Amino acid sequence: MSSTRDPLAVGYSPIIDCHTHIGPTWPDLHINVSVADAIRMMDRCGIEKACSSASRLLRFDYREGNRLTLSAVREFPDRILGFCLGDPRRSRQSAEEASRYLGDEGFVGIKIHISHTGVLYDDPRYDAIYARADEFRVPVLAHTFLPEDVRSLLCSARRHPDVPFIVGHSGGFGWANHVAEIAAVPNAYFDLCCSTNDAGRVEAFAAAGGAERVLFGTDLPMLAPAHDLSQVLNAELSKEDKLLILGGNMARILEARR
Amino acid sequence: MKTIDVNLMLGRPGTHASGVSSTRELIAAMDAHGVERGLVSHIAGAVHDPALGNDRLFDAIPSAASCDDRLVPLPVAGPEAMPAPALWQKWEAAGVRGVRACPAFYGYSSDEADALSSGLAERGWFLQMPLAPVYGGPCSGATVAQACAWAEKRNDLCVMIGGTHRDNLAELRAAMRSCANLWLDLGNQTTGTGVELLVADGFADRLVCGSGFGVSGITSFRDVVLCADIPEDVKTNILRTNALRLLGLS
Repeated sequence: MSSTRDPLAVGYSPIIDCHTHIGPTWPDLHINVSVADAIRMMDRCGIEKACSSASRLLRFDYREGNRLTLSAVREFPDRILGFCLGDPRRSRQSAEEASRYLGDEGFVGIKIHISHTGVLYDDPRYDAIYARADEFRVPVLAHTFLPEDVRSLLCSARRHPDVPFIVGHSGGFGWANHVAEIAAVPNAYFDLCCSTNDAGRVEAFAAAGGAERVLFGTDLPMLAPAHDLSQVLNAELSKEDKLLILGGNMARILEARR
Repeated sequence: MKTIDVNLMLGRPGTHASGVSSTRELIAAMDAHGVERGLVSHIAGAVHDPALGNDRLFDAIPSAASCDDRLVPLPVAGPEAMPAPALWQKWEAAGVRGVRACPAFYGYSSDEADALSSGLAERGWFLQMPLAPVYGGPCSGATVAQACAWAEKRNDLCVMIGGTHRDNLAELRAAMRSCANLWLDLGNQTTGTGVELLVADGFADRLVCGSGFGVSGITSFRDVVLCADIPEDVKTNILRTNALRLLGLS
């Protein structure tokens, strides 16, 4: 049933999705998308690379999550960019493991997730993990949906000004309440990944922080990637700004790695 | 392919700096993105005041013909409509093809619900029931169970559930299996492979697509369908043919 249509984003390159997932999708809905299926979802949209982690496994076993992600990276080295998981509840071990994945295995970032760990992002237990991000100069992607998620992440971003902090979902459905505070932190980036489709969201992020600080993300395969991609392609922005958002900004962040 | 959008919104929500004030703006966006025709509600009717919303809707769209049949008004049916022959005649003259019911606003009595269902079925019109948003926010919607109850009253009445999300997807699939006259607007259904799942369930001829444009972007949910791993003819049905059938225009 593969489509004969052109991918959605014809004429835009590179397209790098800053926020995707490896591992179980929606078991309660009997939806389980394999990595190969996720690659096909990317192909139908024209997404070239996906920054990915197995963040759901943070709840239970971050090591297994990292192993899953490594397996996906090895299977699709030109398409999947690995983010290792940062577990503040096992801070020292998690930071040591991050060193190995960022150093030896070529992972490109660290994913943290308050819903799975219960630890606010400005908790001192994250310090060793942020130190690794600083050492390797890699981005930290953090899930944010509540005001305290955004607040605590931005607090840490201010303490580590050389680390790019990607505000995952940019505060979620309440995004409009967080635009100014995210824009005020120079190393904080807006992540577009969200199931909302509020008109003007992409434009609002670009206006507040500059298009250079907006990142294309989709949550694929948990969410249909065309949803967020369409919002960028049809935003009232210049093509240059769209190119930055779709991949130029993430490419620049990744080039700064040590 | 020109598409049919089953959920366009006039008016400004107040919660965001978005919204469309005029039919001119609506049609301009439709022209820019290949939307041939759309069902239009007023945000006031959807959010807080159905009667006010209907007044504003018909001020803007006196009839579908006044907008070259590009915009089809979708009024909210409150108790004043059941029965109210003059009101139904007004709606017929305006080119209405279906109405929106809001059980969350009105506790329709059994007689009122029967009168509304009968009036719609006799005219070949559909009933739209927008679901209450899962994550809160203003809406005068319904639940899946309420939509099912209305669909079960008359199997010759098409009941279109408006707006879905992964949190109600399982419930919706069960409802559509049990009620062959339940239709689904795929707007807000962003679950990865959700569209594929619904098509695999056998519901392809009862799926339509609404954007919520005015409050939401006009292209996102259309593009989710276009990028889904389903046959091209099914995409055409979801984005156009099914809606024409729902409107009695095929």
